[in-house]
Amino acid sequence: MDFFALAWLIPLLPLGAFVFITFFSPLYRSRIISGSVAIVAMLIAVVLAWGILFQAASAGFGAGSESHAAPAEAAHGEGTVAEGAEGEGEHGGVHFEGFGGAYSQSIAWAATGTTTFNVGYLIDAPVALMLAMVTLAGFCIHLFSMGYMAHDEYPAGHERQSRFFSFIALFTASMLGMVLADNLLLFFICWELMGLCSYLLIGFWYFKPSAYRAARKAFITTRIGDVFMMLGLFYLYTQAGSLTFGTAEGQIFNPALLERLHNQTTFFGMSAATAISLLIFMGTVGKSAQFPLHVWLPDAMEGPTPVSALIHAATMVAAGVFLVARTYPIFIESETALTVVAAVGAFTAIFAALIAVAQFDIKRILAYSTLSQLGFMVAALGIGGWVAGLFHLLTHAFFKALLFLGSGSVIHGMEAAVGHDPNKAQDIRNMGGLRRFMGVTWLTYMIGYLALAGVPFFSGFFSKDEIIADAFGRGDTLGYVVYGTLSVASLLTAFYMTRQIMVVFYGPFRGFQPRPVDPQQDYSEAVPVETPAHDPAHSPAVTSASHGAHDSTAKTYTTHATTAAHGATAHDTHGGHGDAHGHHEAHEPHESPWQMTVPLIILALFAFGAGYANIPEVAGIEFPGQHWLSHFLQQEAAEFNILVAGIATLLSLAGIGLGYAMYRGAFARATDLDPLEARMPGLFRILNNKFYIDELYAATIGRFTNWFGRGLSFFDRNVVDGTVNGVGVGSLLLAKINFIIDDYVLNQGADNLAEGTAITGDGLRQTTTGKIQDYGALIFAGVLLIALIYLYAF
Amino acid sequence: MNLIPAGVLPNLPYLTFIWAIMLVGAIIIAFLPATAKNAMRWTATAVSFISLVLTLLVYLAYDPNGPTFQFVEQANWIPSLGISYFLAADGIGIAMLVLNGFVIFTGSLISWNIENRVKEYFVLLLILVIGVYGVFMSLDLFLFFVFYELAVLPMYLLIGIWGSTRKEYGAMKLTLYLMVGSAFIIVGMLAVYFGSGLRTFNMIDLANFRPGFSTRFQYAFFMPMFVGFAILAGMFPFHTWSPTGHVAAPTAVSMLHAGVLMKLGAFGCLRAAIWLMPEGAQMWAPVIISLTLLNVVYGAYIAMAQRDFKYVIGYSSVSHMGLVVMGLAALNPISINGAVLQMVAHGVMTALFFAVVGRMIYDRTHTRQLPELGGLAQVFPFAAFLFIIGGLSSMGMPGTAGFYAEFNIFMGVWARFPLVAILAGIAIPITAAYILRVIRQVFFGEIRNPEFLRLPKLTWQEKTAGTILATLVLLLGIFPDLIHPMIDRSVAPVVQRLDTARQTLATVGNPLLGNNPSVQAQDGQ
Repeated sequence: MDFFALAWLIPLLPLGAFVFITFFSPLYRSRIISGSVAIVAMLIAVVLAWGILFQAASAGFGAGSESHAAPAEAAHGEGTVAEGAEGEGEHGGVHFEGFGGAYSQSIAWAATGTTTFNVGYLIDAPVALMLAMVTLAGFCIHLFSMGYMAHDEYPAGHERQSRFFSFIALFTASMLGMVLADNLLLFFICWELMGLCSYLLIGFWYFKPSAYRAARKAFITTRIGDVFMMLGLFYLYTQAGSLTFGTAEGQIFNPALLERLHNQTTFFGMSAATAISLLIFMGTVGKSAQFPLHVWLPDAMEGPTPVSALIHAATMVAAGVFLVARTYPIFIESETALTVVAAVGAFTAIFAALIAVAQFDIKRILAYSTLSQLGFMVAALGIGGWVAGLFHLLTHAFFKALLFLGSGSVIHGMEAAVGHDPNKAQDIRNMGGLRRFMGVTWLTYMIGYLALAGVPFFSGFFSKDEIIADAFGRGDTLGYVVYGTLSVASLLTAFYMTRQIMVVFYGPFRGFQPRPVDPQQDYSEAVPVETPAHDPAHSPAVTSASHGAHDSTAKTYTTHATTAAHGATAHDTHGGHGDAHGHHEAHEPHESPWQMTVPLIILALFAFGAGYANIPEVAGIEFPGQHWLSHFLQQEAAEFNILVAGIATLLSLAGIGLGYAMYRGAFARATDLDPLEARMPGLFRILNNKFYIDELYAATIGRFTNWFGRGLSFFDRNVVDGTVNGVGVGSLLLAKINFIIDDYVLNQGADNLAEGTAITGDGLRQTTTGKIQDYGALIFAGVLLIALIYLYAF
Repeated sequence: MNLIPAGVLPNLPYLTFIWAIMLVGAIIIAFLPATAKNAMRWTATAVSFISLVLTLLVYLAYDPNGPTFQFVEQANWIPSLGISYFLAADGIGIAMLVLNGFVIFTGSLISWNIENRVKEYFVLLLILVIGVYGVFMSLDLFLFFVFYELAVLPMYLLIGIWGSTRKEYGAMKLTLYLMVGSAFIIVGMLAVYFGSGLRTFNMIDLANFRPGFSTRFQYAFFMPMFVGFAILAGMFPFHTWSPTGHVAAPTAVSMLHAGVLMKLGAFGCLRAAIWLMPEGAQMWAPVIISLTLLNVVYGAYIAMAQRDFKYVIGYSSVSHMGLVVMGLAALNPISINGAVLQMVAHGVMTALFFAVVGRMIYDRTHTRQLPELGGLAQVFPFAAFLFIIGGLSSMGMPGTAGFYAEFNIFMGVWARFPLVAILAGIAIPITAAYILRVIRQVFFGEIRNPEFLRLPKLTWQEKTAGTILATLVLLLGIFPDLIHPMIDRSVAPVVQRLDTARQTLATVGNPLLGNNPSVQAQDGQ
């Protein structure tokens, strides 16, 4: 069976699920059927994707591969340009033979004035790997959603669950389409659709103002990055004449083209390659939430938890990294761009790790952890560790999807104890001792934790170690800086994850006496608004009105109709209304149903085992499948440095030990102070408030945009229109003078003649039409005058 | 699209039929008794539908590999002045004709609730549409102008009588602006007529005569002609008539006005100004593109600050039409293709917007103030769905008509004026911000007025019209090549003329830059 030829089905299956669920109402009405359709579609996609991976691994990419790359690339490899060859040499020996072999198919989609854009797919080694990862993680998340979305959020019917499945199916389809795209335009189309889906999914509980704001923030922030990326594509298009991946003439990785981009100087003395790379990288900064566009990702936790797993582990954020990996041949042409990439990545890694230390929301800790880990990947790409970056992308997708789903399971269990209030159910201070209630969740979560913390023999250890080793192995300043930064970040990672584990799964269970919601920590309200804030939904009157309604409706919310007003009261609860959920308190946290635990187990297997795809050579011992990933990607295997690996292991263990020591006995009660806060209140506050970046943006960009819009509106109303109205009044005046002259000077003799038409004339003069004609004549005269001036002037 | 092979259709004057059927409809309605309101509505809808079918026939039969202008009809009208009845359709014109067909058909459906002076309303509406159809198919400049005026003038009465909010002011302002435009156009027209020395209004002759208009002539008369039409396309600083007019106009007129009439301006810019005077276009392009940059960004920012739902849409039109003119002014094949695609995309999208905002919402709630609306998705889920489709197109989301159009415009503009493309990029997130804000405030959130829950449901006419327009938005987004080949076929000759003009200018010099060839040569690099 030729899986390559069937690859087009992979994105079309979830897309088909989306279309069917959305447009066929029998499916739409039933949660079970709509969910099953999406899950089955994903299951088939998993089979196809893994079939592709095995076929690629065993048989290569077939005859199609030679036609693409080899001859053209050979010339480049010989280094016709000295700098080009040197540049490659410096980047840890990354060689691009047009991505190894590739299999591609395409059909014409749309023309432009000069060329035609195709829609097609291209499978090469990184694509096969990504497909396998995305489909598998996507399948697990779909299955998990079946259990997670089943609870009583939407009593009046199950339409919203169907919508949820249609959205995540579309999301997965976009991601898969993006991975398979054979040109940057299709890549960009899928990329944008993913942005749209993230908006729909983060804002899925749209009746929560916080969810809506988070969705809008995510959409607009990533879109800012997208604009730059789009400009990068235009630039590339004007240079290359197409946006097709490949090394042949007229394709974007054509050696002659890359050489030209390398040598051509453009704005601010940058080379064209630098400009294009940086513009494209801005897309990554938005999508993969790198500093300074990282602000959307933590807020995006407002979406349902499976969405967090999908967006923040397996798909959307991975897309940004994948973009750089995909267009890497262009990045390689620019030392400057790679340095920027490395710097942004390393900074984000440590910046986000620091913030994660001081968060209390279980999902937000994971969100900042995601930022930090994405920083690792981006930094890896920046220092030339292409394989390491991709490797970490894959392992991270598994263990982070596992952690997010695990946190979903935790929240699901917690809701039995504290009710459906995210401020309570997600606050780690209200948890504790959950190990005893949720065995499977605990066990799988621990695997994810050990992988993320970088404990040896878990997947995260291998991939992170490879990044760090690559940085160290560069041997230049940038390498050492990145090495140092990432090492500290991995210490912090181990620390904050240990903190989370200790507080969530060990110690006493504190959920029966949850913390009162601190307005400072009330995430649903603390999110600053980045665009005009005159959204009346937040006006005090409305909020208090909904609170008033809350008391009377919340107790019966399992049966009332889902009007938005009611929905808002059920979810957007605030301090002081917690007792409305009193009927929950009798329950202990419970383990989740099989639809939720099975995905956890599957992901846990991969979170543990994915690292063995690229195990290094240690002390000359041969393992089967050693460096498999590097070979598969046709890159040189990274050298294993026992010193670097040892230091990294020690740092991880130190972080774990520190976390254990500090949080072993912390939080006897939910209201206790964090041990770190007790020791360093000032620092803790800054970290807890995420370095006040959100506030900074709201005060600068947000306010400016708002003010600027109003200012221009004022200008338009008063200056532009004022001028027009002024001209109107002036013309009227002129017309009157005209009329007086006409009437008294010229018209005297014709008085008698005019008398017959006087009545009609008077009538006409009163009407607006009469005035219009006057104006028109005057204007016309004026224009004629201008025309005459023109004629004489030229 | 060449889907109807040559020779299958009988050789009939289809283009004349397209506008004449509207005239027939107008006459029938004029003779119907004043009480037969439903008969009038049905008549208007029926003739609109027939004209739509005719435009689709022309679209299907147009051969993108054949000559640029097909379906030629030529007859003498006033031979002594060189005026003829000369109709023909090229790809751009056909795209516009089909657009107009869809908008008037859906507009007739949307006008079903007009109760006041039904007869006059439909007669004027149909006359307006005759004018619009005529402009898109005329190749005689005089005829072109006659149709143009025919399209502009009924607008005054339609807004003034059937409009809402400050309708007299809106109608007056609109008419005055457009008359200023007309005055400029007349100047340009007469200049072309006398300047060529041919004493003809035949545009093909005017475009192709040797040695052609002199550089100085084009320098002087390109701008009057261009500005005259650009006023109708809402170019900064002549745009303020458009939001006021949109807000004041009755729904179907807003649809036609923003959907088609503004395209008439852009079409005129391309057909009468850029095509006839390519050197002038090359010389003035930097000035024009700077103004359109203001349109795009300024319009988007202002749209964000509005509290009136229709004003938001009105200013978004200013912004999007700015993109159209920007695409035209970048003077390369990609950008002009993009501009024409955007004309279609914006036409459909904005018609959909006004159908939802004006008819489905305002006519029921009697308020357009955003703070007073809210939660309408529960009352009219279908209207919310339609508006979201339009909104996505407005944001340039892939899968909707707006994406490919904007992508081409930006790509073309980048090739010639990278800085302009970068600055215009600011409008993209701003557009997303105001569209999302409006969707949120109007359709989601809480219902602010419990009366809304008792509003009448959507009628079948509204649903039909909305479905047609939304389907078009998606269809054109997924298959841009449905219209692209024929547009490309017709843009290519224009671009060829522009390229020749550019070479000429490189040797002659650009008077705008001090008439110094060397300066121009440096600028070219």
